[in-house]
Amino acid sequence: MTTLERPRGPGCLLILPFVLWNLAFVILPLLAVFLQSLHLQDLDYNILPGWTLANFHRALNPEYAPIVLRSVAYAGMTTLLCLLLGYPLAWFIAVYGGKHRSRYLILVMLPFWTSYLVRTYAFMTILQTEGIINAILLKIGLLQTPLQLLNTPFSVVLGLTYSFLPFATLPIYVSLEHLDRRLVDAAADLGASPFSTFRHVVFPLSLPGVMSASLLTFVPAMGDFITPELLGGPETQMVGNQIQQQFLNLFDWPFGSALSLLLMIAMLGSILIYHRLTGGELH
Amino acid sequence: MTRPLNVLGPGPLTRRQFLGMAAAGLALAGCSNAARTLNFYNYSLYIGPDTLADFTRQTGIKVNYDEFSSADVLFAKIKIGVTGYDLLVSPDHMMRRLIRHHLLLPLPRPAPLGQIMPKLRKPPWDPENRFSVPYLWGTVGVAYNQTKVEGEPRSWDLLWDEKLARRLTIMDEKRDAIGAALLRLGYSGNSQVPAQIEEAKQSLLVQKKLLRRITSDFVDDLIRGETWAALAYSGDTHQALQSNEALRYYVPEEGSFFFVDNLCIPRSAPHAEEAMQFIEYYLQPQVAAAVTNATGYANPVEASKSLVRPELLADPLTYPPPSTMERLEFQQDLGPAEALWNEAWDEVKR
Repeated sequence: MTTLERPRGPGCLLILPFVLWNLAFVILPLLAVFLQSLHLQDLDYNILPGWTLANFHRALNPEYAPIVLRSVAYAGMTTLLCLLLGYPLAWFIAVYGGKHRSRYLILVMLPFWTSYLVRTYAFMTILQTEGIINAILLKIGLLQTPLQLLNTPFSVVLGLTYSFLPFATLPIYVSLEHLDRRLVDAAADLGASPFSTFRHVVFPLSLPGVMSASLLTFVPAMGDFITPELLGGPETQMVGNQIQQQFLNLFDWPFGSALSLLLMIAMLGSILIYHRLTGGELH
Repeated sequence: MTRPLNVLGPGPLTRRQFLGMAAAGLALAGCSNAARTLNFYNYSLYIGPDTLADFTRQTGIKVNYDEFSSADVLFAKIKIGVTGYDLLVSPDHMMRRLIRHHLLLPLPRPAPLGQIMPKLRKPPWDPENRFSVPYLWGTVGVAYNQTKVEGEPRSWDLLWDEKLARRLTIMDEKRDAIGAALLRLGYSGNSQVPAQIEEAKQSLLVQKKLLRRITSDFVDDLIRGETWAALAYSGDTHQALQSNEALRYYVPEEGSFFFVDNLCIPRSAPHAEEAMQFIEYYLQPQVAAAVTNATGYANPVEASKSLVRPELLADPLTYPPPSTMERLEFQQDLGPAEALWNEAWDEVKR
């Protein structure tokens, strides 16, 4: 018999470290968050014994709708911008990169070697009222008074797009690199214009990469809180800020747990939709 | 309360402190008597350059020094049982909560309080100084850029001024933000009356439209000229002045807060005796004066005044005149009304 069988007996022990690791660092913390979300606490932050869904009721209260919609809008904008910027970039590297491809890919990853905080503070100095952008626009006479760029929805989406661009570029690059170049030649031979070649051949074939890129951008952007904290203003807070606020400032850990769980469920939902759309292929 | 880390504008003071800390580190590294240690948990940028090194030199006790930027983080750590700290610096409004939760150890022996200024000798949160000794104190007020603001503002109204739209910040501290709104409306800054808290919340929602940010890191924006007025702490403003001379500070005429940060010993402290020795060491005039000279925050030791830099002593920012002192109240424990404050702050931040 040469067919593969499920390991039985002592062989099972081989997956034990994996199971234990998951149990200790994924399942148990999630369980703690879940259990905590089912309680209320008193004024001294002691968890009360009774079980309740009150935290979930509160989280689903329409009062929190604006912050959720805002987060979806910012994360959606970020995803779109990352695709619009990441696709041409990936295309360029895959098609024209030649032997320098890996160097270009390293350049894409390069910003990750600097602390995220340092990069965000750099953006603050670029965007501030007396920053480089305003100075240039004033100098060439496009503006009479400086623009407020920092602490606006614009600066938040810009910061998010900047930090997640590599997550969008790399999966698209992988799908474009694997694309059979002869199909492009065949389309051209059969009289398709470059645009319709792209529309009917290249883009559909790179779709799995585009879907992965969307997922890898949208999900973390949705939960981000440092970018809106540093580059945003009071009107640009996202779900992540709300969760952080519950845990660190207001000490409402049960409510913060409920919010985190709902965010996780929503994200799982979008991953399932993704699986439906792509037939479960992850790039 | 947060003493923000000044990330972009390390003024001369920050650098000096950094060098001080480096020197302290070197001194500790060279110290062979490692038997006795003190684990000290303090606000960031809130100590003198040689304070710890001198303590080690005098007592042979090695200090492990750790900093936090927000009192909320301090409480969260102590409440969930992070142990190992021997000495904490806690704001006044958190003292009752720490004591009520039995998170503090009574001081091993009475501290020498004779040196302490009368107003701070029997504070409402710890009337017999069983658990704590005042460390530094300052005021909450308004910092502004005098080249951008007309006249000499004297009211909280400046933080609601539409002419400064998108050039204002308030701190991410509910006690100071809601407190200021209450005082502006003519109520106590410690109000527990639901209708007053609601009114303060409404006024904060109006103010929110004018705000650039809600951040405890207000110093950076002021220094860079991004913002023109901010809800501020006196000492932080003093530090910001080193980098931007156009900044001014006042305690609004409607009244404001006077805050005191306290040295106290957590219940789980492994080295309570060493912590007590530090408290006694700190209450010496020359030690307390050096901390004031470095931070711009006043200390409670009466006799230290003769050792404080004269310009600091004359500066109403550090030592407010009696007329200002009269308008200041402590931030009290809010009791059950804390839930209302939390709800209001949650809504403002949303």
